[in-house]
Amino acid sequence: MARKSLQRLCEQHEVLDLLAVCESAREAHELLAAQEVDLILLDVEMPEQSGFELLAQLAFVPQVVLITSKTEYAFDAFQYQVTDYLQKPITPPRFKLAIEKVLDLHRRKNAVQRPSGTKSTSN
Amino acid sequence: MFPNPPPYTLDRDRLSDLYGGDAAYAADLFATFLEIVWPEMALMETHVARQNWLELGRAAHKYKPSLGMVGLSELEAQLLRIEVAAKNSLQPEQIEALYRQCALEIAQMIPTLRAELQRLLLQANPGSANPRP
Repeated sequence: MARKSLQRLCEQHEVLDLLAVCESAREAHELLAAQEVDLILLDVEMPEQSGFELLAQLAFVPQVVLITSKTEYAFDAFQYQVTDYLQKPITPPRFKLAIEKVLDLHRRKNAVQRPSGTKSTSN
Repeated sequence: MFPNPPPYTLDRDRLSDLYGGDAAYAADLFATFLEIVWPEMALMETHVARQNWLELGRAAHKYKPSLGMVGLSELEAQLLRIEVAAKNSLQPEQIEALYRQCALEIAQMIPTLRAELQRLLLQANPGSANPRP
């Protein structure tokens, strides 16, 4: 249900281009190995493997917004240098704020490059 | 015999924060709760029957946000209590009692959620007399 809400928030956002919704960390890992994305909206608690375990396996880590219903992961989130941390259930204003942070960082990183939309994946 | 009144009212402030005035969005998630999440929550009964408190705690954690998303903030807090009780290995009778109370109150709230879904669907599709039989 949280995933459905998140998917809708992504689809309604004027800048985000939702590339995929993954059911598991393994599926996300396979997708991220094959396709470059600018942003992952990542649930910390997933079956089989946590969001942090997924991040530890990635060769290239794009911007990450962590999604969780626990506040106790904040320290781990800080260690992984995630862009933002959203607590479920996610409100539209808080989601927009997180995406503004992502876009701001994206613009700063690409200041000398041609501006483009932000691609995202969520799981 | 008169039916019991619902134990809680919907947390309108929370629903407003989550959906603003987007009735179609809210209706979509209320329908998801009623059609998918609530039937799936019946699996918690199996965990209780097997006294599998680890899985019960995990399930309580998983479903907690969904209750918040349909305005059942008090029951969301009850699921948190079950999650904590299961994690801290409280007496099985205590965990089961918490679960029974919560499951009963969720069931009592279902007619309220169904009515809210109908109201949201009418609000989203004003021309439709009976949007979801």
